[in-house]
Amino acid sequence: MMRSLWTAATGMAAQTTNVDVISNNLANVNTAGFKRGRANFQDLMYQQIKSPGAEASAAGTQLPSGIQVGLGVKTASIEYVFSAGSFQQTNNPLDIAIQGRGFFQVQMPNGEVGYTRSGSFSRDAQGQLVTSNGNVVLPNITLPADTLNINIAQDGTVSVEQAGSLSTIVGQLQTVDFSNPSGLTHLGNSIFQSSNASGEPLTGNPGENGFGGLGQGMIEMSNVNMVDEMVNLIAAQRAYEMNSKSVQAADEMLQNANSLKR
Amino acid sequence: MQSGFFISGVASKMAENRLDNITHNLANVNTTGYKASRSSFKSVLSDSVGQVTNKQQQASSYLSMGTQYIDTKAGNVQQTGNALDFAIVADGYFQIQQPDGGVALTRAGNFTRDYEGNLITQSGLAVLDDSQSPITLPDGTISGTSEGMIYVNNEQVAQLGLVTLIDKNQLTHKEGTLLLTDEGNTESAVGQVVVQHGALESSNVNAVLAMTEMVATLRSYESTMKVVEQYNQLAGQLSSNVGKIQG
Repeated sequence: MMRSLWTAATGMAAQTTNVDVISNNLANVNTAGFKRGRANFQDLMYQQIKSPGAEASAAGTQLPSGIQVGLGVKTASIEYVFSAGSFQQTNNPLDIAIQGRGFFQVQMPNGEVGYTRSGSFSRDAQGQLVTSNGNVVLPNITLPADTLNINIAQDGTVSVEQAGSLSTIVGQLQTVDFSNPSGLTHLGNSIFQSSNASGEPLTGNPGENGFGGLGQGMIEMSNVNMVDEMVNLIAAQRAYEMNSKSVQAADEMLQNANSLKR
Repeated sequence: MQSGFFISGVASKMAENRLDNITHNLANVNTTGYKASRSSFKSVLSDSVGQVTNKQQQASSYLSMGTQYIDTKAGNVQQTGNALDFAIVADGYFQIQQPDGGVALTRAGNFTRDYEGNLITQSGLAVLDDSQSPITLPDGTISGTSEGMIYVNNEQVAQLGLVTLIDKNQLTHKEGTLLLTDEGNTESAVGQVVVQHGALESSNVNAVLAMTEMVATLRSYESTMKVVEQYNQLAGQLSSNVGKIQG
């Protein structure tokens, strides 16, 4: 059978993945701390029909270039782009944005540590700082019940004002960074997990040694750019269509060949 | 059987090969840094069919796959703003270390970093600097100049090993958007090649041209098939009618 059928199928499969990634980006256009994905494609292996430099005639002339038939495309990776999203002022004292590199650490229900850029935190019944899913933020910070005002400094120092007393420091937020954030695994719920590709987490205080400082009363919005995604969506859809035309063309040829024998 | 029967058969096989090529290009219409391949065909003379002395007897010619070349025309450069994306604006290639130690070329500058900070391609192969050694980037803010110099936190770290080809026709494709050429066919072109940081070169497949070629290929396939059909009918009539005594 013709190679074109399968080659076109790889193209359609790749563009389907592309649309999947773009759709996920668009769905998360309003998700705080979301980092957009990007599908990277590479060509597939080539079938060598004639290799360059092969003898072309008895006189010893050589083929200047060979003949290779490519067999399509593959998705090389879906890369998450960790560029900064824009910041939105919320004036909620427990909304914290990281301005630069870094991730918050959260305790996941299974006991492992997860990482997130989404800093819209709340307090639980014990006064602990938790994410919107109820996961405790690490290092553990407990806010006293009679807290009037919470102040989170750029370097991560958390201090509270209680009735009848001046501000007291209740904890220090620490962030972590990775050599290769793109290598983090997505766990959903805006939480990432470290992997062999991301490297080990490097812990530090916000605002020091290249770690981004914290901004209280702000959230980092999704870094998805609507216009870019829409344009990419159109390009992906058209590329899908073209590949389906290749299938049609190959099919028509086969039909022609089949009709020879009646 | 008449040789025309086979000539048409071979011609339709070549149309299939051409479609394979067009399909592969179309499958890679969104592949960063992909270079379209184009095939050309040539006719191969067969031994003359009839008597050599018969001047009117023309030798028949078969269509055969001639050469193929890789269209090295630059693709469009798209801004991505990604710190590890590099696009070569006009001529030139990045050098990539292959698993067997050899050097491959690529135009796909969508690089990434591994956990050790090595600059690698999306398939995990090391990107080489101007002295042909892998590039390691420390953590920090990455910026790049138009000469392909990479700075981290405003400190000069590495120079991308940019090369140009001496003979542009000596290129073959390798999976993973790599291109191969002979070892002596590249020359260092640091300073001449213009690199754009935070941008990617898109595939240089011309979709309109590819679709047009596809239609043309399809129609030429149809017409050669028609010829085969005619020969088939001819042969059918020959076997059923010749020698039949009609009364």
